[in-house]
Amino acid sequence: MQPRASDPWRGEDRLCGYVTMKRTRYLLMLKYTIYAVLLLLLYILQTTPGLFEIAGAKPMLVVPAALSIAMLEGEFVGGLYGALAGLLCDLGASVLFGFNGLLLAVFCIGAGLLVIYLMHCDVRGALLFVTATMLVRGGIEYLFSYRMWGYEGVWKVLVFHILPMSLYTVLVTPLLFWLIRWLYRLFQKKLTGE
Amino acid sequence: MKDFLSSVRFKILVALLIVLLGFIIASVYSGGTAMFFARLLGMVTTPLQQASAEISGSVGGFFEKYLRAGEVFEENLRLREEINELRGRLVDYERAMHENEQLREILGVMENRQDLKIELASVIARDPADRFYSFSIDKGSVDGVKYLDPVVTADGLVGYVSEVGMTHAKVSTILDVAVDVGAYDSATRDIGIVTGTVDLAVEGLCQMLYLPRESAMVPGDIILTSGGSLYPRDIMVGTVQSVGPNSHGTSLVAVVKPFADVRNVKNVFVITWFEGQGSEND
Repeated sequence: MQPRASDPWRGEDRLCGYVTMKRTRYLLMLKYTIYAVLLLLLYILQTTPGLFEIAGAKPMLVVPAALSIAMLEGEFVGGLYGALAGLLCDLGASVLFGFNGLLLAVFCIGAGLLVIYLMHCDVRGALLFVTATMLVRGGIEYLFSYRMWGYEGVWKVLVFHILPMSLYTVLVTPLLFWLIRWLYRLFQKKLTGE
Repeated sequence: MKDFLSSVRFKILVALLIVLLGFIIASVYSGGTAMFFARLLGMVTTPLQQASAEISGSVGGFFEKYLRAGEVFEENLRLREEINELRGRLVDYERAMHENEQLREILGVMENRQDLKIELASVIARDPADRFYSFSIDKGSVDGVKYLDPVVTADGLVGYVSEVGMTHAKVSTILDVAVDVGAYDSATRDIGIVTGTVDLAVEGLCQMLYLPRESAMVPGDIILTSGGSLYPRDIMVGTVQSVGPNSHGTSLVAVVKPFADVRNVKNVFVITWFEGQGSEND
């Protein structure tokens, strides 16, 4: 773009604005790509046989990650990454494809909105959101996959499997929240030019 | 909040939720075939899961002998007791001969199976939310794997393919309450249904239902598949651990220990074809 002689705007400012806009887009794309790759990596880790397993329980690592993204980035980006995280979980799960995707998308949208209008974006909020998500998700799965079919002893699924997995997931939430927040702040510094 | 509800972003999110709901409805009617989006995601994640599973297996295998030293010692003691018990059984000549003849017959059948086509697969992922040890394997429709294909190991039956993508498939195990396998006792020829329960799945066991009350089944009997359109005949299932009446007293129920280590299996065979598969005469 070449400034015209009669152009009231300085050519250098317009060029700087163009470069800044391009750099901003590049940084945003890089940030969102890193989020997606991180979710993919966490999904691989959570489904690797034997990894992070304690007494038969394994954490769902993508859930606190997606909720942390929603808290920091807002409801729109959070909803998209919540859907992606949920669909990744659906790949290997014995549930209908889309179940975890829909559930996590709704919770991430809710988390994003609550942080904007009502709550602080901190570890306590993350723990609260993850706890609520895991309990609701576990409750719905227990009800529709086990309870309603009348199998014997299904309460053990809730007590010895769903609840320990939910607890384990809540316990690892601070680590993932701090990681996502660190990434978010790193890119915010670059975007604001600090 | 009102601004958000009237914004384009809100409409996009609503559309996303409708699409996700559509995925759920579509998967109900998919008949075990993974949806296009699931197949696409599967193609991306399967190679990564393979690599991760191999790395995890290698590292775990290196440390296992040190971490499991106590377990191995106890297992050694238990096996010594078991050997002594088996030596005692050999004193019963007629029963030992009968068992020997049956085992030779079964071994001969397995060695000479010409009516099976199999595909070797590796376990690449286990869902942390699953109760019955279902897993994903690294073979899919491009390798000839189909929905409902039986899955076995060299030791015995593991389960069946419950969903298939292009390069991966999900396997539901015989420990699952929703899996039913037609089977029979090789000694008494009694027919029943092998299925899982929540209680027994934790211990890696399953049960055999609908056995006749007058059945002569005893612990130690070998259970095989009875054949049909879903499973080929004479696939090893497991051994009887105990026999007792069901809760109503109308039939007997046997607790069965699968031959295959369903909870820890790492490599499996998918039976992609067998004589009678999918026939309607079952």
